[in-house]
Amino acid sequence: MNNIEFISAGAGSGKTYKLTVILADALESGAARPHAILATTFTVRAATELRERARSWLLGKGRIDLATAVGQARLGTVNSVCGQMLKRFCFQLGLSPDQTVLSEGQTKRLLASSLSETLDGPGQVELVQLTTRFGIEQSEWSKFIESVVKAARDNDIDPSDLRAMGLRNADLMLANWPAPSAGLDLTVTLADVLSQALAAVSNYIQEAVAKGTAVAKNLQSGQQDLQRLERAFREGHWTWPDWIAAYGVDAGAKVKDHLLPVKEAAQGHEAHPTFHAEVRRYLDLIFNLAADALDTYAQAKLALGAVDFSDQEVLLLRAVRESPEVREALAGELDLILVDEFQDTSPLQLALFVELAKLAKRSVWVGDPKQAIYGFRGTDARLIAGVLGAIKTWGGTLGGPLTTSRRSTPGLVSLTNAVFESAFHPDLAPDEVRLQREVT
Amino acid sequence: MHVTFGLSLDARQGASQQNSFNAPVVGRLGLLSLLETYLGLSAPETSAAQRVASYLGYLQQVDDCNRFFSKSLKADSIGTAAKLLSWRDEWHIGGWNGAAPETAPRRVRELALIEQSAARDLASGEAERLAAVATALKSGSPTPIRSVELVDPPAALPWAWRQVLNLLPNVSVQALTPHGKGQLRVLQEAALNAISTGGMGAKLPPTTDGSVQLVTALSRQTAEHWLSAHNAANPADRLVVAEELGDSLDAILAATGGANCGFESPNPLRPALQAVGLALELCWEPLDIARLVDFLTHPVGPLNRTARARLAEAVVEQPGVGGDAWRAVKKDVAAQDGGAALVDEIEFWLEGNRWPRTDGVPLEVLLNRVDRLRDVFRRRLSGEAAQTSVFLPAHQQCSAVFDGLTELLRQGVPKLLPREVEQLIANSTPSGAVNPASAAQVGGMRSSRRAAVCIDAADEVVWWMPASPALPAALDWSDSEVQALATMGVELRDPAKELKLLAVHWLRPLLAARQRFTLVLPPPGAEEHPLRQLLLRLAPDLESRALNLDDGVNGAFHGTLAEPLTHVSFPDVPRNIQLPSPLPLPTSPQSFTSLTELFNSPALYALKRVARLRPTAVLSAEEDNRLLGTLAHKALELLFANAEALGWSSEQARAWFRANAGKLLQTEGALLLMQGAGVSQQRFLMTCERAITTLLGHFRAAGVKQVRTEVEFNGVLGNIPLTGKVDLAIELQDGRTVALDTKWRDERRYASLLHEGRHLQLALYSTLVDQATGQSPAAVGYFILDTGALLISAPDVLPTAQVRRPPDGSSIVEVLQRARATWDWRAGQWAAGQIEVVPVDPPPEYRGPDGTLAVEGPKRWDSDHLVLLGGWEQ
Repeated sequence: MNNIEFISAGAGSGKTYKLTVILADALESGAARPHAILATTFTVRAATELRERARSWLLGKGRIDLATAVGQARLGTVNSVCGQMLKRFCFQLGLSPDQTVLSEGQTKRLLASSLSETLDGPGQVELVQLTTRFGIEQSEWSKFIESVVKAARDNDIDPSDLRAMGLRNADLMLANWPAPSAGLDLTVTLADVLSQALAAVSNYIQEAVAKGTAVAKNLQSGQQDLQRLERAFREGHWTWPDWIAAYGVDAGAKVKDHLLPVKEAAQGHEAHPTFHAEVRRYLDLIFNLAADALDTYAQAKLALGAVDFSDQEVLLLRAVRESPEVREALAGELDLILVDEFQDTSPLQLALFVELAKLAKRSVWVGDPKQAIYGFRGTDARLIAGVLGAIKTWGGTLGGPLTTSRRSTPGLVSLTNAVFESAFHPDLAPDEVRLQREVT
Repeated sequence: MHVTFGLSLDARQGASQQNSFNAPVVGRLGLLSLLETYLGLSAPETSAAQRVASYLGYLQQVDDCNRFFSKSLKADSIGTAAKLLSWRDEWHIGGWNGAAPETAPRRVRELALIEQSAARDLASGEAERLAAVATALKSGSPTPIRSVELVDPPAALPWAWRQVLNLLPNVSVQALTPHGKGQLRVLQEAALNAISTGGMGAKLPPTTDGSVQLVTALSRQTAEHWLSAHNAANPADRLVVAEELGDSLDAILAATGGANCGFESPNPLRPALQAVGLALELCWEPLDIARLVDFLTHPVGPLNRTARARLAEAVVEQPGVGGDAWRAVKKDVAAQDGGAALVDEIEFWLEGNRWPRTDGVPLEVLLNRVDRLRDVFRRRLSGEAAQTSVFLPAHQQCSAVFDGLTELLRQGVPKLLPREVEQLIANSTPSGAVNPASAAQVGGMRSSRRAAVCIDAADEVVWWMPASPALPAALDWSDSEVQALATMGVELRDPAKELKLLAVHWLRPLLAARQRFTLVLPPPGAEEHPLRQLLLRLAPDLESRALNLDDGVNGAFHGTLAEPLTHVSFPDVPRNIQLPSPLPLPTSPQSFTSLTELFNSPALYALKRVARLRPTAVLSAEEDNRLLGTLAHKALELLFANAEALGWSSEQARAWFRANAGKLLQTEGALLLMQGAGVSQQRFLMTCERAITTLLGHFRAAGVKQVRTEVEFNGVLGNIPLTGKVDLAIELQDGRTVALDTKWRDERRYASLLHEGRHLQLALYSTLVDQATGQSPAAVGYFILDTGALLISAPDVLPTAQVRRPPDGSSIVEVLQRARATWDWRAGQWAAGQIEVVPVDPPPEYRGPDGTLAVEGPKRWDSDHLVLLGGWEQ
């Protein structure tokens, strides 16, 4: 691993200033050629600010040539920088040279469409039957599968590994339920007791009407629920939520005893062999579908000449790892890599930065482990802590941390120290958390 | 002839003070055309698309599946050909002879291999044209050119251009010259010195003579209004440089009484340029209904626009081609003058064969379509100038696509995939079309879209909101490839040198100013342009002396920029709209829907049914429950059109449905046939099939004799004319009847409507049937399609149905009585000129008098109308 330095920079401790100085110094000293600088930031605005500040710094030093040359450096968000490189290496990756980057909405639509196309007619029928059985709304059928696909892509999980996860998930889930029962057909049992309960409740109501007694609202409502469920089971188009509903039918205290057999039979769904089999089949189907969809979706994008945000990282990582031509090209043009907001790095991005660091002359990663808050994007405070622990073993260094808050008042700094020193324990030691107050 | 030549000068817009017949100011394309004309080398221009198509042929000739481009070629043949052709052209213009030694990197060698055939036949690009010019000049062919003045240094010119310029007489380089006076001049010289020498001098003293001005504003609109007012108040020879957003500036100038500068804003998405893409999109199977609606509603298309609009409405009503609504439009069209020809056109464009996206469309089909569209545009070129300016780029685009397709056909390509069609169109539309309304007007300021072309001095130069500059692209090749090409004598462009040249170009607007240079800064948040940073380094005082337009909004600095507005709250929503005179209720037949609106929200009824206000809607076909319900209704209608259907077994019903569902979806539910809709389609088919078999089961059990669908009844409610359509009018063996309404879903809701006595819709159907036949239905009810539940109001009619008997006091007769009372109550209010405004979820005080129906208020889906009634919170 080449020269990696990690700089811990607390909130308001002058991180952008530090990055500017590193970039400008590297240019001034000749250690980095302008076009051989790659800097990633979390937002477009931050990239713009870094470019502006570097230019201004160099103008202040009278280096108009370098201030102009900053325009050659690759500064941008991780996705924009990766996107540029994906175009650059389109032939090595077998992609269209004219790539369209899909927005999140377009990604979602194309993935949903690919999922549907992945299944043949009988497969679609089975999926509809299973989703109907589990009470999953028509508009929701693809959501869970999409999240499986997304997780697989964001974590670079191989389709064959993904396939195995469906049944493993089912095993883990069903282990918490009673074992499937043998013997009686639980569905027939529930259908029978529903018929009996409906007959009993209807009789009770008829008698009440005959006596001229008012029929309570909950009794009527309970009867209607029983009618609906009885019909569903009689006609054979019941769903698993119907079992839950049967357990919960309430027709009032006066007919409570008639409903006890229904409750008892409905609770049997936990040990229903069909329930176990359908959970297993559903999870197996959707994980297999997700695995197939990885390919169908990739083909759909290829046919459209499109890439999505995940591709920008996944495909580039693959190219950097596997293509000698890409490695050779990058090795000649990476003098300095700067990574801002390193704590927001996802596992995939971390893998990419590690691979690039092997090719670059110098890498500087700047971040604040305390601000690893974008869990929804795949980042994790433990990931950063792990990197900090490993960096020296890679031959890297931990640079002097920026610990003086230049943004907040001393009182606020003391307060946050008091709160967060304990909050981060034991992942981070107190001195890794504590900010110093600026001496004025 | 004395030529002024610069790399970017083709991008000039409007007249130049220097340009004249004998002293042209030209860029690369301009000078090349000029030379070819005088040397007798002019030839019909070959479109970019045709060259790309030709190059694709050469790529495919050498492709053995192991070339560096093989995989990309498979993924995107035309995009790959376009990219590699651009490499090839760029190398040629740098002096490449098309060869490569064995030691050269792989990609260079493989392009050289392609070049062995491309060099012979490929239509000329810029490099070949320059080479032909150079050959002609060397042979002594005369030109009228006596001198050439370069505005860019020769080293910045590509190798092939330098060869030509070396053969022209009296080539000189124009020095960068400051044109200003006073403190402006001092700043111009300091900036020029900084860029030329790469070093900074001492900071300049404050600019106090007003010759350099920074202008800031929080919004672009404020600045636009300011410039308009400034220009009107201070007429001058003024040049506006706007690299972006010039069209917005023009719009404000025109709106405030000024004259257009003429910012052209070329864009490949102009409506006329989208027509060919939409026309070819209709070739794919399954048909994309959204694209079909786009084609039918697009401002430009090959078909009569009125006919397209009517077909669009038909498609939105019944998504598909060939349904009842579609056929009705065609029938009307056929009855018009020239209708037969128009019907032929409709059938050609919309009802022809389609091909799966994975197989591709035959080239002959594409050629036929593009040729017809090209002909449509050609016929429109003879109209007014504004029309011609719209259709000319579209005609050129179609011609380029046609040429590209012809070339591919010549190569024996049988079919094109969607991506190939898309890329061919993209390569036929390289620079887009300009805004046809953008012509510069008399009295307008001079204008420029590029700093680089500001070579004419002006009294005042206004640089409009420079922000993130477009920077030179990095080279596509590795260091080893660049070195290998250099060894072969190829002089590739150098991004570092281009960036330096760009810095010089950024100076041109400043240097062109004679009396005043105004830098209008973009709103906060935009990137600081490098020139702005340089000027502030040289003259830091400029920032503190900037003109802040937002501070001046209330001042009289340049007239009134904005009127301060006093805050006015929304008025309270009135309980009633009080009219000056009585308003009678309409005497036209009322439906259940209209009565519900009147009863629950008279003001909504007044807006929709009396004032007839309709919200604007974008035509679009959506897959929603309404569509699924409509399709299922239609399926039932078709089912019971078979006299023997009632006797069918479930198996026979299933077989009938499976045989007929395809056509139903094709004509009225094509959204469910679209790519990616497979699961939705299966769900619909399964639901509908089960609904049909369940319903027939109910009918068999009841011994139903006859079922009529969508039966229209007319009658009265008291003295109110009434109309309604009963979904399923059923006759039993014993002569009794049942009226059913079908719903897609919501079994619980409709069960509770009956159970709670809120079944006005069914009560109205009951009275309508009664009045028409002299016999009240024995029961009324709902059939819920997604669960197959049949909910009816009375026992002993349909034995397998679920009875939901309305409560005491809510019989059909009583519900109808309450409806009449509610009508009378609302009519009384209207007679007093009072139209009640009922909120959503109304509180108890909105209840009517005893004996009337409960007031439920309007529904949120009427929000377009409710906003007019003070429902802005909703």
